[in-house]
Amino acid sequence: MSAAILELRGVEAAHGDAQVLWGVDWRVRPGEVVAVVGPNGAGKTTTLRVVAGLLRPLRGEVWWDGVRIDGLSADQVVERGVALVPEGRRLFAHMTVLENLLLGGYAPRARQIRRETLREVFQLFPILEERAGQPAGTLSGGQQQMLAIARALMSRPRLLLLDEPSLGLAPRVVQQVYEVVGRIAREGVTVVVVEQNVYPVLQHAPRGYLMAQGRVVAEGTAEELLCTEVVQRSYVGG
Amino acid sequence: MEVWLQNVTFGALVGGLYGLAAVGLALVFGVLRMLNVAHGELIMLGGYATFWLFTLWGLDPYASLLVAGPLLFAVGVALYEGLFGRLVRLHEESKIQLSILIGFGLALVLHALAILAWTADDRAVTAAYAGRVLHLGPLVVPLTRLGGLAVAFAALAGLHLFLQRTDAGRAIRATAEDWEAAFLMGVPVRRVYRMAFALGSALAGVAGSLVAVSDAISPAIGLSWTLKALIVVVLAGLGSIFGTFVAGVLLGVAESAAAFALGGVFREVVGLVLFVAVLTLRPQGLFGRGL
Repeated sequence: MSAAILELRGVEAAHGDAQVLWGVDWRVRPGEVVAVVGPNGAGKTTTLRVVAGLLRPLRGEVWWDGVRIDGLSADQVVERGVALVPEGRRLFAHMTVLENLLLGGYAPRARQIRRETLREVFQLFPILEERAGQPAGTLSGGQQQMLAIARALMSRPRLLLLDEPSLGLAPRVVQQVYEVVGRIAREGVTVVVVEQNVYPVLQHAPRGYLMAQGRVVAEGTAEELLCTEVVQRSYVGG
Repeated sequence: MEVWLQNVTFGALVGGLYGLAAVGLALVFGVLRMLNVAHGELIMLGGYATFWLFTLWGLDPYASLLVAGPLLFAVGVALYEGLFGRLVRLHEESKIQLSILIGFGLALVLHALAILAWTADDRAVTAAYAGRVLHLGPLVVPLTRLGGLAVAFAALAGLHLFLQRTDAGRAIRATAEDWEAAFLMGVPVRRVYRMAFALGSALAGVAGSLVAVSDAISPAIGLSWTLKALIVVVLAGLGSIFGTFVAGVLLGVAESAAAFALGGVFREVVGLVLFVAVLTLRPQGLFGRGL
């Protein structure tokens, strides 16, 4: 295995007094698309929040591109090329599509080349250019997910973290979302996708982790994960 | 009829100041989710700044806006760093509660210090043009009141452009809507909080200057200005600067109409009646979009 560009070592974290992560280890190589699946409450979202700098871990380390980033705040993490598309998209619903995108490129490094990035993003998502002046809250669910991804791309990330990108979307739209993710990955961006719904993500990510109860319980190729008994048990409610 | 018109005009002119006072309070509340009940005391400080600049150095009160605004901006930074900024990590509910407690304490302290420093006397800036009026047909309009309305409107227009057209302004609006999402965009949320608090304080300073020239100031005016601002914020709802300004004008008009029709004591009553009525019938406010 070549060197990991993102590495989590024994990450433990808590919400208030309740500890929810109990030693999470991830190793992600440059340019990989990695799936993280598991049932509700497994700690997937919390782990992403730790990586993005929204939550400080109790113990453990997060390394990104040779730098230890646990302890940095979210604005510092995004400046280092890590972008999170949060669960539920979290668009600025009262602001226009264009304003959402401009905010995506707010970090100093990204702001210097914001016009170019905007042009590229509009090429990838022509619908967003058509709707640029419209409040983000008036877009359809699929368009909102596209905008959430586009907004994250405005920060020029080299690591894109996606939290439940298929949630609440029709299968055909989910397919479109994953096509876009595939194109982003082919540009050389490393991608980590968290999904509770295993099937679409494991069609597109060659490898992944299965989490449950705040730990990584299995690791392997998409086929292995799909066949893992644990997957069966986790989802059939064992 | 003419007397009515005169009263309504006068109320609208006063109301512009209510609007300005309220926008500062609403900005802080909307962005930080903190209620600064010492907002009226900041208005009082702005008033004294203008009063002393005029009395000691003869500085024109409208020129002193350019001092009172930045001065209160700096006071806002200091208050944020020393007091209110310590609450930002707390949960929404305790943040509001504790900010109200801190604000009350701060209001008492500022009130007492102002009495010690400047006595409890009423003061007013008596510029050469203070008594002049403008005759618009049958209406008599005091020049300083008209100037106050114009300045209030200009300050709010400036704030509007800043929030809509600049990156820093967009960052403030984004933080008000969803601070965590803004943080993920690379917005330094704490600096935005400090900026919003300082801007709200600067608006209070400008409002205070206008009060000093068109009305009178004393160390005790703070509470009543906080109350007016609070009523206007509830009336307007959050999310619209011009909605807040219009609500201020409405309150001013309602007050002077009530005072004229029903007697002076009803000036204060009508605001509180509106306050309760809006909270009951339209809790998101006349122009608000809710939280």
